[in-house]
Amino acid sequence: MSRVVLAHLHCWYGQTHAVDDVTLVVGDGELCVLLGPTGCGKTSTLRMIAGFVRPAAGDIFLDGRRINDLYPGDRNIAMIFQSYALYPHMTVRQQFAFPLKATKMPAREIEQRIKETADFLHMHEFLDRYPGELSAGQQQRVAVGRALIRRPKLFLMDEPLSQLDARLRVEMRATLRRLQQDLGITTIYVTHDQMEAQSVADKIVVMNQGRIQQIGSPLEIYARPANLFVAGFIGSPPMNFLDCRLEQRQGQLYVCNDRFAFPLRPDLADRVGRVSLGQPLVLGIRPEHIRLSPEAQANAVPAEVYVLEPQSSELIVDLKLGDLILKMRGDKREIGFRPHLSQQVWMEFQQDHLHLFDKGTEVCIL
Amino acid sequence: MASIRLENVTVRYEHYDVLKGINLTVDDGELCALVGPSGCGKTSVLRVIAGLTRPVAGNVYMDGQLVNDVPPGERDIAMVFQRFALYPYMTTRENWAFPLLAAGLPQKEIEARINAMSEFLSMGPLMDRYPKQLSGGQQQRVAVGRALVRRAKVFLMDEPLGSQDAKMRVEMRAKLKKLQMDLGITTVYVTHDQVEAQAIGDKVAVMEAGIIHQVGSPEEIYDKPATLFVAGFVGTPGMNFLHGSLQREDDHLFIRHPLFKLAVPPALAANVEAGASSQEVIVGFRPEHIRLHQIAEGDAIPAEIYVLEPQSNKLVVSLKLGQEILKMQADRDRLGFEPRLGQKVFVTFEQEFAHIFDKATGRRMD
Amino acid sequence: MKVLKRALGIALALLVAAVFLFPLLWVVLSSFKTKLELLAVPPVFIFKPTLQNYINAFRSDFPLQVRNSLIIAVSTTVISITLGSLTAYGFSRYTIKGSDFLQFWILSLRMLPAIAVVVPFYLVFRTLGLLDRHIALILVYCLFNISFAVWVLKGFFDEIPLELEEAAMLDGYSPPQVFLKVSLPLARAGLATTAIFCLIQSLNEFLLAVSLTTRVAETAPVGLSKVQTLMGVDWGLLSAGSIVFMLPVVIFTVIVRNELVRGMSFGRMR
Repeated sequence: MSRVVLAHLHCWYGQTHAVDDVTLVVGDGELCVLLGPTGCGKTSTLRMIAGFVRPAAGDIFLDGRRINDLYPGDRNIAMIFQSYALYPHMTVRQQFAFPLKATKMPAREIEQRIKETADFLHMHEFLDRYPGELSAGQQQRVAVGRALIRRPKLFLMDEPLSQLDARLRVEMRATLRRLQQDLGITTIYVTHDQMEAQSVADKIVVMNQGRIQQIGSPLEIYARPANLFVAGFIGSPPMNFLDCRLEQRQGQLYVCNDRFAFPLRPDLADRVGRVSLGQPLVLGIRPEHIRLSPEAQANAVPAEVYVLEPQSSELIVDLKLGDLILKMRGDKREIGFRPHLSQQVWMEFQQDHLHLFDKGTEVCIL
Repeated sequence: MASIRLENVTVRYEHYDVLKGINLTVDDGELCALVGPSGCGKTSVLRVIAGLTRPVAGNVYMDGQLVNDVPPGERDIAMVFQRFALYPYMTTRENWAFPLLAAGLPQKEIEARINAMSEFLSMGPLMDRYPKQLSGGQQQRVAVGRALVRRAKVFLMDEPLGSQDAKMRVEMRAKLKKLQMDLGITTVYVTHDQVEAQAIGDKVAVMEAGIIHQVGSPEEIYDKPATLFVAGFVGTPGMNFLHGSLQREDDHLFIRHPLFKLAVPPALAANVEAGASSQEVIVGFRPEHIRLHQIAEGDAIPAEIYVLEPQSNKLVVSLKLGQEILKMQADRDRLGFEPRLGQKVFVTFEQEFAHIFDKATGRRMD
Repeated sequence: MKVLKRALGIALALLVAAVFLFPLLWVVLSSFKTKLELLAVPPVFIFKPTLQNYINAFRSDFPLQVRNSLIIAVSTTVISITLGSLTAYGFSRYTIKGSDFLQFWILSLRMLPAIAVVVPFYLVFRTLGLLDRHIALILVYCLFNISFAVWVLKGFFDEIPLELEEAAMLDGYSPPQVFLKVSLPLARAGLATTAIFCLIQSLNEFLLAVSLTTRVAETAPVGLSKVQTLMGVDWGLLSAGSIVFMLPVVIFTVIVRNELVRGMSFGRMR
């Protein structure tokens, strides 16, 4: 049972402010994903929790106890490394025993724990092999086994699936998620893959340039991104962005730019009422929230079919709007017609899923 | 402009057949995506077409002419490598001029071609930069441009997006596809990523262990996979496979599984029965063809929710049916309820989307 | 065609091997010959072997000299490997002020020509009363070999992924334990390579040995060189001595040969 609190954590590498005022609470049994592009500070944060890097400022609490000054081995934390960090000179059995020996556990009990772990991960036939003799997927299981055999208070995982091929990765993330839920061990998980993050997380922390951009459940992060960065980082293909402004026409609020103008639904208009008209804004709409029609529709935006990308049961349609390329995504059966290249089509943005961002501050205003 | 035909091509390294008598036709102006797991021989196919590897058996035709003995330099083929292979000490302009100088073109002609290509790829200010001053995406454009200025007949690309991050890959693949269409240049595109292959290929060839399992449009590959391998390889999450046996009752053909009984559509029954090597079959259902219900209805199968994975507007649900784990996928707002972990639910299959394979041969049976 | 190529290759390999192995063969044969056979022209290859040369060698000071050589070489090797691996690990894993300069300085010691330091060392050891003592040669040899060991072993430690050590730290092991249980075993190819080189270097060294020892701590190379007497060279004795002297290195090399191959190629892990 454990809870992690990070309070105003900072970390510098030379002139780089790698982690900038990170404050975060991870609840007991929760799986929290630190998500962001390379160099966003997610791994540095993890390494500070593990104790490999000393924070320049701020505190780390595990179960209410400040662990800043504890040696890594005294923190009761287990970690799964990106490269798995399996000891090449030890068999799987020896790898499993290694952390237990450090605690001076009696040999009988070590044997017992190894047996339990091997049962749990179905690893009996591999116990006497060396890591070099195992496939990537098996190595990953050994890494998991070595981490959980100690029954630690906290699991840290640094891109634990990145060494696996796409197929296995999709499979293993469900397995890992289930395992973590069964064990109920508090986990902090680092990845740059937003799909993976959505799929395993109770809570996602989106980071960029050392700072936390947003904390929320996968659904919150997807449906209500706090700013342009989060909006553009989550989802594939990513959200489409269009420069626009708001104008008052015939008593209605219109979203418009040089190429289109459509009225904003009254309830939405009320919510953005305080935004001064004419201010530069960015409209954000996800590919799955654009409806296409082969015929002109009221308030729809005309565009040209530019590229077609089949995607399993779905179709991604690239649409050309002036110099901009927008992407829409929809189930082949539901698009309603078969778009062909260079066809003139009309896009309707589903207003339930429309986002507006302030172009200057990049903060979401709708 | 050219067509390519491979006829019973076999390539052997040491004593191992990397390609086992493959046949492939790529029509003039077509983009053929070769996809398969690593080591399946897809890169060897490229090398055979380029003339870098000599098949021990079989023939290679370009435009109907046998080119087995034509050296690579005379095949008029341009290649883009995964690592781009740009000359680091040359600017974009120099990189592009290099193959033209080698071909002994007059200076004026070279300049004209480079300027035209620069405009086409909107390279403008990037023409006088060195590769290290360019971003990954820009370097890729330079690599593509260098292949294009030669106005080769055939374009070969080996994982050209392999070194880009996920977001850039999605963006670049559409641009590459558009570029290829505009130029109308016959292209063979190698990738290990089935999503990319579907998105970019006019035609997709799925390879495994030196053989081509299926060649077809992205829709054919997805909707009518020819073998178990293709069915499992294409689509994510992967197809669910269930083992069953064929049974005839009165006039109807059924597939019996411990959990359910599936009626084979009468239109297919004759084919299925004629083609079966034994009673043992494997039925495949894609995740989007499994339906979830809160209440038992008709022949719904009871199941337990095992893992929940949000994916943007979709939800991937792992279901435990007896000993089997199946994955289903649906739009979150179409599910009609918010599934919870451990919840008892009921599952039905959209039977018209069943894929039936012969267990012994792995072949599709209709 | 292929067969011919292969045959040609084998023939070439045999030729090269013959060129390299012939001197060794000559020494081995010589050690079993009588004085007369030794000086026979043309040389004889078929003869009745005698052990007399070996008996003579073991009746002289030679066993003592071999013992000296082994004491000095093994001590040097053990000390160099121990101190060298610790120093190399420090350079590899910790940020040390002036690390680059220190490393260059240590390496430069290795480049020092022995002839330049013979006289100063002689004077120092005479003052300390250490002339003709094992410890004198051990100290001097360590000077050269530790610098070599640091230089080679740092490369091996650099190759070990940091994550392996971090994993062990989280597993509850202290930094010295991590070094002993993870880093050192993983660098064993480097340790074997370094040990062989240290051993050979200290066994073969002549100039310092001849200057700093006279009788008590005299090493085998020095002793063998003195076989050249007024009555000419006793080639038989010299050959027998060389063979005996060669054995320890050969045996050690055979024992660690697997590690050595990986070490020589600065082998990556696995």
